[in-house]
Amino acid sequence: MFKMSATLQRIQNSNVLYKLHFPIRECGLNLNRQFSFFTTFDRNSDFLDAKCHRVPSRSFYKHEIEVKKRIQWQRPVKVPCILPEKSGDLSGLPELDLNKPPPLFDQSSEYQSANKYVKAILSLKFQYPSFLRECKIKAVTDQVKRHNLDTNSVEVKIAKYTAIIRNMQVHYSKFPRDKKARADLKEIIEFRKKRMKLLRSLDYRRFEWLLEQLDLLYKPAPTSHERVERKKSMRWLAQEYIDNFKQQKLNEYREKLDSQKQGFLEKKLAVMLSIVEEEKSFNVEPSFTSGDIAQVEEELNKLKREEGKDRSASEVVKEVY
Amino acid sequence: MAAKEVLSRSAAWLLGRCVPCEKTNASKFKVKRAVMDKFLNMYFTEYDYVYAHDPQKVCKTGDTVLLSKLPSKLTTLITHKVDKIVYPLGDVTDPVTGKKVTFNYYREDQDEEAELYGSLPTRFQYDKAPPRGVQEDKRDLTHRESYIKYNEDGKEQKYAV
Repeated sequence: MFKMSATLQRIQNSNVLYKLHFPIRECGLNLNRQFSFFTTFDRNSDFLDAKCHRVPSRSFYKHEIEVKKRIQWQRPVKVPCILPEKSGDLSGLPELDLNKPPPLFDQSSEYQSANKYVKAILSLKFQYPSFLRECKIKAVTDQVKRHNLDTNSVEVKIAKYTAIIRNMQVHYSKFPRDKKARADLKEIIEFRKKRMKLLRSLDYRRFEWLLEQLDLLYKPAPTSHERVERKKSMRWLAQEYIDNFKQQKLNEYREKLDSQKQGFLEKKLAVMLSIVEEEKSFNVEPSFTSGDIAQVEEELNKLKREEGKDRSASEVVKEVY
Repeated sequence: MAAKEVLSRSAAWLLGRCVPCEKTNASKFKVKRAVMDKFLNMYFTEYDYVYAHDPQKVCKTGDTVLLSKLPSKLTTLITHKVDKIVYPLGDVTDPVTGKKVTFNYYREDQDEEAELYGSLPTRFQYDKAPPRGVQEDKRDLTHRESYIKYNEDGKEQKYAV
């Protein structure tokens, strides 16, 4: 038996492949060729042709650049729920007059008859911080009280919570490591939110009045809690971009048509008049009445007047700048 | 996947609750429906969203409204019109006596109580208060649906939470 050597066998194999490969090379757009053994691994072989090697395609990187020109996404910074931006407090606490005495001291006869040094020592300037806090709460609740002994009505409760919240927000800004205060503050904000929600559903006008009195902002809770993700946000932003682009194109088209309106009406009027004249000369009943012509004239005049107004407005703007 | 069929759209009369909607000519309503599960022999609640023609925007968020079907559809979505606001939100009337109520008190009784203690000018007065909608879009943002902020674009996003 004749046994082929290893080298000879290799040559024969390559010849076989060579024969197999040629018909493929002839048909230019054979997609299978891209994934064949030769194109992927044996790049320096003679069979390769630059023309039919790879179909040029848009890479993902190019696509990304195109998108970045139009849409930018930036992850929003997380705002803690205890800050006034989130809790809805539009203003702070009212400023106190530190030369005044604490509440109820005013009414005592002993205080009124005391000399000025005693009064100075009793003033808020030299009192404990708890006294100051009480004074602040009183100042806020006094804005919404029904009567002097009112401590339990909804509006007074909400006002009291508001004063405590605002005081604690100031405290938290000074001592951001006070975790206990932070937890308490969050709890009180939630109490107030619940009261406001109830008040809204049971007495809307008083709810609105209270918003104005205490300078609060009320936002409803979102119906769906979507996680903030890059891909999802990009899709929403792309949709927004498309909508805006469509609207812009439509507006441009409307402007273009509007600018042609006047010329069209003038042309229409001239044609109508000529038809009527021609019909008169042949003693035929005119196809347009005087009312029709007057209507077109009126429309034309209206357009002209509007244009004149726009011009005068633009002139005023030019003078200002 | 095909969109879910809204069965309530074919009903002649509906009682819905108004939800925030940005459309200018129409209001959106949430309608409750009981659906029978034959396997469990039990009813389960489902909600449908129906649009009704409301050019003046009479309905505010949270109102309970009676809707009647239009003879023909105005658009693919708008199938009903507003017939009557049955219960305006936060303006409750006692059906037996016909008096106005807040929480579980009559408003008259509350005023009387305040006067007995010596009422202050700071208290809320129903006679002088304007109708609902004074703080709309200023301090009360319930007329629009809020969303969680997902992009920082440098502009003020009013309705983002």
